[in-house]
Amino acid sequence: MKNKIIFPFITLTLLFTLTWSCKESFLEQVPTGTVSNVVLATEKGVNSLLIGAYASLDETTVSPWGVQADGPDNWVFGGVCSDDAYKGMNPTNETAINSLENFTATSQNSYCLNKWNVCYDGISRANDVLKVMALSNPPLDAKFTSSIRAQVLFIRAFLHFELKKVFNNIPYITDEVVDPTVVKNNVDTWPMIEADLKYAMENLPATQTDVGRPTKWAAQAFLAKAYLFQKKWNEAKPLLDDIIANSGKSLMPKYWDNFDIEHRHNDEAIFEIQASVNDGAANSANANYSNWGINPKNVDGTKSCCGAYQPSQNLVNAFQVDVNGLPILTGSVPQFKNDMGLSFSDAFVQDTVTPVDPRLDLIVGRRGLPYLDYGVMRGSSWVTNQAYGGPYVGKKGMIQKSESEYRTTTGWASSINAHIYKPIRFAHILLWRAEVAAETGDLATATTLVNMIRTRADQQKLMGRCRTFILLDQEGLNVDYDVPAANYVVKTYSSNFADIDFARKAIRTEMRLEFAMEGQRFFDLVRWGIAEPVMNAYFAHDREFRYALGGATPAIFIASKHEYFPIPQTQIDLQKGALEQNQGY
Amino acid sequence: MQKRIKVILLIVFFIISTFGVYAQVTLTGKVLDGNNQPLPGTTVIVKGTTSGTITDTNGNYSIPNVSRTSVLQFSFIGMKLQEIVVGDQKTINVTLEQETVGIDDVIVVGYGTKVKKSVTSSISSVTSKDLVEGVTANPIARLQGKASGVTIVNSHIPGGEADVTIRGMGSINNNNPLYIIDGVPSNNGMSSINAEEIESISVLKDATSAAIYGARGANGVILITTKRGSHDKTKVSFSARYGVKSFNNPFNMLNTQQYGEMLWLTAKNQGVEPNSDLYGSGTTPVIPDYIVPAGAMEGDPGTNPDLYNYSTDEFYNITKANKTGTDWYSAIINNLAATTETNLSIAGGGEKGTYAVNFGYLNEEGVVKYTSYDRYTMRANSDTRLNRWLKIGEPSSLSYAKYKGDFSDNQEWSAIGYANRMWAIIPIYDIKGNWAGTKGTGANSINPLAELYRHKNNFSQNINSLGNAYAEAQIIKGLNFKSLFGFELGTANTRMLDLRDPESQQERSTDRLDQGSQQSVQWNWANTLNYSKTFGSHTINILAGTEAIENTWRGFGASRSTFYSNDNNYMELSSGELDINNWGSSNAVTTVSYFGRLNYDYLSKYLLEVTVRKDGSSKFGQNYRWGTFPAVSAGWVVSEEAFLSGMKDKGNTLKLRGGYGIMGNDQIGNYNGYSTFAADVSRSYYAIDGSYNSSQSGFYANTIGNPNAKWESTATGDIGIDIGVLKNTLTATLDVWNRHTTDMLFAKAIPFVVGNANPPAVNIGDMKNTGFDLNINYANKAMNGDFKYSLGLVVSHYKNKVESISDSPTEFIEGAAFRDMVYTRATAGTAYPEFYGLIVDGIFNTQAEADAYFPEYGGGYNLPGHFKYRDVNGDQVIDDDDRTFIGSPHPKFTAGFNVDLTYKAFSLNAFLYASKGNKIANYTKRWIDYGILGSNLSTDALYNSWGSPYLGNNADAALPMIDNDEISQFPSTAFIEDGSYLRLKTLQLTYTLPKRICEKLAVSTLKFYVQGSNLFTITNYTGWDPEVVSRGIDKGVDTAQWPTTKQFTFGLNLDF
Repeated sequence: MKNKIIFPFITLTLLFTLTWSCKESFLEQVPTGTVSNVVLATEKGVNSLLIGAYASLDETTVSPWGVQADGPDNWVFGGVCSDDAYKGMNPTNETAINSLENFTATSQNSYCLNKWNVCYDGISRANDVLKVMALSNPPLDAKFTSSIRAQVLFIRAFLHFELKKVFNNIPYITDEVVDPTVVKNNVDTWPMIEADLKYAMENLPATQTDVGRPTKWAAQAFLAKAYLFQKKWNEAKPLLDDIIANSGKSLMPKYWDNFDIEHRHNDEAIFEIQASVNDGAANSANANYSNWGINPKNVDGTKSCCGAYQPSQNLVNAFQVDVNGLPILTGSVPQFKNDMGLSFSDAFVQDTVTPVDPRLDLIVGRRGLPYLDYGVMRGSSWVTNQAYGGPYVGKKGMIQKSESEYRTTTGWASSINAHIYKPIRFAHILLWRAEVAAETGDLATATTLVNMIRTRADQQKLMGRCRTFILLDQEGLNVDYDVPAANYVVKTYSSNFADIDFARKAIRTEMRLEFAMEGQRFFDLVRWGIAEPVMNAYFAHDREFRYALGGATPAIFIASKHEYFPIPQTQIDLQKGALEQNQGY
Repeated sequence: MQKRIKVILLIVFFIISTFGVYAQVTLTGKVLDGNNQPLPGTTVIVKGTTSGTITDTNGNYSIPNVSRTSVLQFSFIGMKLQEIVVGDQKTINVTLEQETVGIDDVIVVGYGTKVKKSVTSSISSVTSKDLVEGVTANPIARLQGKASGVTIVNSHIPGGEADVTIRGMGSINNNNPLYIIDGVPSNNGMSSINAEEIESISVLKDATSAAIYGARGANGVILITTKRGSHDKTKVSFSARYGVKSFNNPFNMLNTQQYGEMLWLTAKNQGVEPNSDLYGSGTTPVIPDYIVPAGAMEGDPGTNPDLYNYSTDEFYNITKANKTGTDWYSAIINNLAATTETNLSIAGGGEKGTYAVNFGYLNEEGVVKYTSYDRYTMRANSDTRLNRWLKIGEPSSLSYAKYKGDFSDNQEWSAIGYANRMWAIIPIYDIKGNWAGTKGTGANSINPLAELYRHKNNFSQNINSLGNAYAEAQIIKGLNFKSLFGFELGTANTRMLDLRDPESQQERSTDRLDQGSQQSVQWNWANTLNYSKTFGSHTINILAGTEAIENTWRGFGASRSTFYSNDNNYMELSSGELDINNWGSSNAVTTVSYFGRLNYDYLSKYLLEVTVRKDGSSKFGQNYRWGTFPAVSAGWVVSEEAFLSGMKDKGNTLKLRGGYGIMGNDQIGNYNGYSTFAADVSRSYYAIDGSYNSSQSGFYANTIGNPNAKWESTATGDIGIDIGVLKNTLTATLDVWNRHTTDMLFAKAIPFVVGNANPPAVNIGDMKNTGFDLNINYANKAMNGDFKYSLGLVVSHYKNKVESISDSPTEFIEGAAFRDMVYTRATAGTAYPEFYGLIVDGIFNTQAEADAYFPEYGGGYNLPGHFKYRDVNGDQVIDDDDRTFIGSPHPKFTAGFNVDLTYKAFSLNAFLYASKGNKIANYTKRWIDYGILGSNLSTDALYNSWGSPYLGNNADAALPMIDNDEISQFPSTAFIEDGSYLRLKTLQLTYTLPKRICEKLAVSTLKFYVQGSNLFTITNYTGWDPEVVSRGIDKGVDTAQWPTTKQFTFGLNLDF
């Protein structure tokens, strides 16, 4: 009887006390697999945070799948929105791009939102590096901190510059901002971009062990570009001269050296966005993810999706040259022959007579011409929807069939690869310097610099003339690989530009040809102040055979509105009083 | 005045019961059962005292010193309690009647049981007989329409989980109820539980019943009690059922010829020349002989079979056009998919203990091909009385379930999603019998049959074990101590193969294997003291307890691609060559709780219950770690009152009750208080050294913490009435309730300028729910008991309203974007959620009409054939600002109607379920009527869209002009449909073998049944199935889910 009472009673007491005594420590559960800011306030931690900030340069860091957004190569905002390219694919794919291309986008546009998102995420990461670095006690070595700071400010300026080009009116967020949500976007942010780049330029070394880190020259080139955007010719000039004279950078011997895997890191690159595939990241998120759709369909061995970013007829026409081997700068540019409406089993004879700049076929995939090492491009069967996207496919961003280890092996978007994008290459420096020279009256220097670019363009031609006009299968084709694929002619200007107007035309056209399909055209049109006439002329011309620009709601470019894209409405709603919508939206 | 009388009566009663002992005698007698057999072991006690005895083997008893005013109570399990006033008698012989309602009288409540009539809170209780022979494997899904106040939407994939909410949506966060099985919280889903193991399910709906679970009770609690053996006899039960499913596709899709016409119509609508790789570019579409090569005719050199090449590099799968058209739905539907279930249980016991062992096997084929679900369940429950004061037991179960095949549901990347998009011209196979696909056609889809076939070896296998060991000791009479240690172990192993599909437009480049393994371990330790005492007319019951719970989760996985062979047996992680990806993570939650409950019962007439629980959780920072959750309720059994004695005498009952209390919700993620940085190879690594196949580790801001977050609290009030009239043949229960959730945790959206770290939950939301639950049952018999019938109606209604989401009145939460379109939104003043979009006021018929209207989205959309959207904000411009709330996915009410008819050996049961007043966003329409991503279209698009040559008058158009214009596809009233339906869920005919035949066969019961389920549905909804599974903020969006099927089942139950 005694046991009956005592035993349970003791047990009971024990149980109650046990649970009580261990309760507070029992309830302490800290997150796993993560660290706090204090733990990161070491040299190693700060370096790792900095890598995290670099990771945002490819603008695919917001989710492991990558958001459907424009990357730093700006193929949508800089390319599809210009006269260089069509969206491609099907009209029903990625419809957010349709409205950007036709300039009917609203503030709800997902590409605008995603661009805003990824860039400010990167800026926030950059600022986090500085904030965490400041937490270290004792403070970290001054040399270390200034090196980190220079890299951080470069990243911060780069991303703000991206936003500036697309949205113009942006809040500039620095590590000193206590509450980023109240920073207004009605302030001129060029001085801040300049200040960050100046600090970077002054504190970065001339060379870096890691090719992904910016050098002094990279910062200097971006600063010059910022000046160019503001027409500050005299400020840009010494920076560009310094790079040309002292950076050690040079033009690669051949044009395609900038776009093949073999010369991934080359002497022409001023700054590169790195890309790696099959490195353990889900869906190869560290590759050039924004490249997901940029390639032809059905290309043997590529398993590619989705045939986006197709060169426009307008662009192809621009590669035609006159009897002197120079671009056609005056009068109307003739229409270059294409294979619209033809099946690959229909006969088609490609134009091999009209003289064209050889860069045409290094940039544009045309029917009947060898396409990298994939064989001969087979017209409409390599295009997702020819009626919608036109007859051409792009080449930049594609890798060779033989270089499959540079291609992601995961997922649906197997076009993603380890091609690195070069936002600024030495060719930019030369043509920018030509532009500065022209604008400041030095037409001789301008001509010389443009001729350097044209001379290099003459060093490489696409070989392989196809003598089969019905393209059933690769094996039966009759291709003469010793003969150039087209009538390539590119000549230098034999005399100095006659006047500033001609010089501008020549330089701007040279930039278009040299950097075609590199996502810069639209921003150049805007900074030159010619976006409205150029785009409306392009719409009028290309809608003739590409219905998506015409049809029931024809595309039209409205000056003083469409130079910049709408600021995402959700952000304006969240930051009432801080953000103002761009003019016209 | 009455009160004073009561108090006086009370005092008098005390005095009498304490001192009024006189004229004592020794009583003897015999207790018999209904068959006049002696009933040994019957408890005989003098009411209100501790004196009493038990009848001997002959049913005889003897009690000394009984006063003449005493009342004797005779009780035996399964028999009706009898009370007899002693009076002048010296011998009292009693015949006990069989207790017909039996188990119904006791219901399971938190940490204990309770006599139903003394319940003052709102509890829906369902017993085993309502659960068996259902058509779903998931026992909780079978509660649909049976338990009032519980809204259940069933998933239709085999072994799918049901979406269960109790009394509306209490929170913008997790709304799942808390499941407790035999005292052990269960987190691993209910589909692994065998319904045959379940004795009863109690749904605790209001604060007084659920507040004993404190911080996790706010969404309601579902208590599951499993079957135990009985002391006296051994029962062996065997049951088996076999069923087949079928499904009729309601969509009429375009055939090959019609799709060509549709392309021409679309081009005409767009104002362009038609041009198709397949159908040519002339004045009319021409059906080609081949789709690979695209659009080729017989004789085309490209169709030479010698060119056929299935190798990776030169893939060329010559494919003939299917000129009549492939019916892709029929291709993937597994008609007559079979379900087999068998169950064997043995239960029994002896003097000291009981046992119940159950083994169950279920195999269910999916209605989509190459899918199946297998489940093996085992349960062993034992309870042993070691001596007079100590009882131990160990109820536990083991369940193994395997999902095999492609279970993708409710998304565009599923077999059904692909079938929606696949053109009819594409055949299933190419000329060599390999899979045909979209390659070369420009279509965006995947051959859904090929996809199912390639995924047929995918599986997810789950092993769950749940149970407890307990000891229950009687310290002194009336005072019991129980210590229960419970565990739940769950493992899930998944193996997913994505094999190359070279015939697809967007093919997978390599074969790929993903494997994952997850393990969850939870233990809980609950210690309770229970004191029960009757002092005369006062009965009190006090419960005090503590509970500690720890739940840890750990998972890892890996994937590889590129295998030497894609043979299923060869593909293992170690044989994969490329894409070596791995992941792993873990988390842990701990809680400590103290709780108590007091029940007071005066004369079984006035009832009071007070509950309080104090919870501490690791999910909250130290400042707000602890929360206290009290509740109180009271009941008045009116029919016990003297002034209503007529009512009681006729066997009728009436009870009024009401309660109020506060509960919590802690479903906010485990580490809300911490700001963290994380390293993630996909998000923060970078190839800084320029490498092309490796990247360096980096960190990014992962979460922003809020150490000041505290519990969401939900205050609940409930007023109920229980009534039984016509000798209790007609019973009804009505509960009217409201729930008010404050301090609702919401992760307020932060602007992107702050970065992308996950924002923390903060306590700023406020949400209200009001509603009623109604149960009406009528049961009676006729023809001398040969004909028995019962009717049951369960009606549940709730109204949900978000009072505020955050400190900003314009703050809103929106649902997921489906192909850039968001259909749902919730903000202050709306339900959570409602549909959000434009209002369609018709279709423009002429250019003049379109031009005269306000510019729509800049004006380019103003064309005949396009929608005329309403200018909601009156600014004479149609744009996104004209979006408004256009319907609610919440039903006005749901109802279950049950009919049971028994005539002699035959019984017929019908169960109907209805949902009324809910709307559905028919997202599938966007695919099949509007053709996004170039999908196949419905015949409506060709015949009933504006501008169709088949339409006599455009004013009759059911759809706008089909021209791929995205603005027509904006979420609008055009996609919102009434989702009300009435469905005959089950119709069952049962034949029970007469007793005399049973005796000859030496069985105690044998019955056969045939059952048809989902035999008809009355609805105006045009999608596949109005029973749409979509949770939380996406509620009511129908995105191509597996449909409800018709099912015919034959079964038998056999008891020895």
